[in-house]
Amino acid sequence: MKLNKNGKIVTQIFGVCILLVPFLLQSNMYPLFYYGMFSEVLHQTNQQERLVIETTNASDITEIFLASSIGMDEGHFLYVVRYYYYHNKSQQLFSQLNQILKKSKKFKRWKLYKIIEIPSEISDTVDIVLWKPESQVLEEY
Amino acid sequence: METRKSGFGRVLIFGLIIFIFYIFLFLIYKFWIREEIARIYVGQGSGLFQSLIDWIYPRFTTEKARLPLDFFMRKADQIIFRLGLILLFGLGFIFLSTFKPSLRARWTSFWEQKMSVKQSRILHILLGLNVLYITRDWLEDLFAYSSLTGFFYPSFIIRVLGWGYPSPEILGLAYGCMLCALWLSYWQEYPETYLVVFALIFVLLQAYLFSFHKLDHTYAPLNSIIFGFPILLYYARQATANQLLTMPAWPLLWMRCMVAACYFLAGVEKILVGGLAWFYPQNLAAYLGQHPSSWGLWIAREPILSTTISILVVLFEISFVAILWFPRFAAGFLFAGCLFHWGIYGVMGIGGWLHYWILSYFIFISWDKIIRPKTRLGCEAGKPRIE
Repeated sequence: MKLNKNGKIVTQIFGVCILLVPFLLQSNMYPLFYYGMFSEVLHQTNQQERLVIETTNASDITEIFLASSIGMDEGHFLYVVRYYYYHNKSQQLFSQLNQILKKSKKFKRWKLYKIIEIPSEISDTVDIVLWKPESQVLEEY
Repeated sequence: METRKSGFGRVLIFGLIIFIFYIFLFLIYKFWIREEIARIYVGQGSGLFQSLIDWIYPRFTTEKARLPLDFFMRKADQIIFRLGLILLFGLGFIFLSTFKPSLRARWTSFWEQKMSVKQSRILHILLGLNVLYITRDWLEDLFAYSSLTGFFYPSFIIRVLGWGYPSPEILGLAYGCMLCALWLSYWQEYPETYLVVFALIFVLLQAYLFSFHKLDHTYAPLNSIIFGFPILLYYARQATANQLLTMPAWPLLWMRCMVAACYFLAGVEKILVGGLAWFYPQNLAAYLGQHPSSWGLWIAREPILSTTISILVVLFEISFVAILWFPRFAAGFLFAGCLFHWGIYGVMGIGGWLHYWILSYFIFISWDKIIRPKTRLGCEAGKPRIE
């Protein structure tokens, strides 16, 4: 039972540390978890932001891009889109999506809409990012 | 008497040093770090500080585009406040354990508890079943991510290791090795060694699952359990070798503390971050609106019910730690836990009926008291003849 004396203290300190580090920094540092889920106060009157991707194929058919088409969950995909959009990497996002879908589908135009929704008001599109795979040019308006 | 006085002096000096250290940190924060955060927010921060923020809080750039500076200042204020809280509780603990021998004795006796070897064997089997169920779709997910490596964004541990996303062959091999190590932990002489290998691969594969911009807390309690399990098996092996029927229970108690802490910290966060406003009916209504269901929308329309539910949620989360001191009432706590997760699933559609946090409850149950056949030594398991 050699482990009993020091092992117990070391394990207890280790346990406290792995709980306190993310608690202090309020950030997940996997494998250390921060348990701040659902702790922010939400207000119903707050505006909600939506990021929507739209594709146009060679026959000019426009469709809303669905995360399931690349085997990703819708909620998870939103994390990805938000990351690329706010890091000004929309072109990289479109390029990656285009690359993934290259074998199955071909699109001539990708568009990302940032829509602000305010309860009981009409939604407002505040930003549009357009990318054409052929010209590799990104336009924002 | 003299010893007690000198002990008091030592604790007082230690407390004073900690206090001065905290004041020093507070002043640095107040007059330098706060301003630096404001500069980073507008994109004028120093390189070193920016790198530090990116390392600790990688979502800062994403979030600052939609959240005001005030949000991040409150978060930063919380760090210095929480540090003060930790130091205060730490000092309080040292002070009480120095001057309250009865408290120290209770603390020691808590960690000195014994458990039956049989209990550890049953827990080992249940851990295996748990893992098989939880990891059943991992390989499929990991393979699916292989085609999405363009979105690979390494989680903290992978960033530290500096590794990329492995090929499907390596992933398959790692998954196979993980299950193999788990399997061998049942049959080989040194089960704890195999379980350490299993735990490392388990954590690593999970790190890859979380390396695509999203981390969830689904496996958090099981991770804590897996960290402590090799020590439990080590004691079980030692006890078996010495023909003992009991062994130290502290690894199991440690695992229980860690799982209870998941709930406790989730409750504390709601108070620290949300404050009183977290209990306002509008808050729950807004959450329910984000995950709409017929039940949820009905609750959202009832302010008294919404506030009552919010209070009950935080009360449950904070009081769950009491299961450690009142194991006799474990069934009540665990049933409340099931209701809590089922409630979230029924109202918000998050989780499932067999929530992975519920699956981690198996460590709170005294299986050896439920399953009590006579052992070959002629005494009941859990009531050892040899100490």
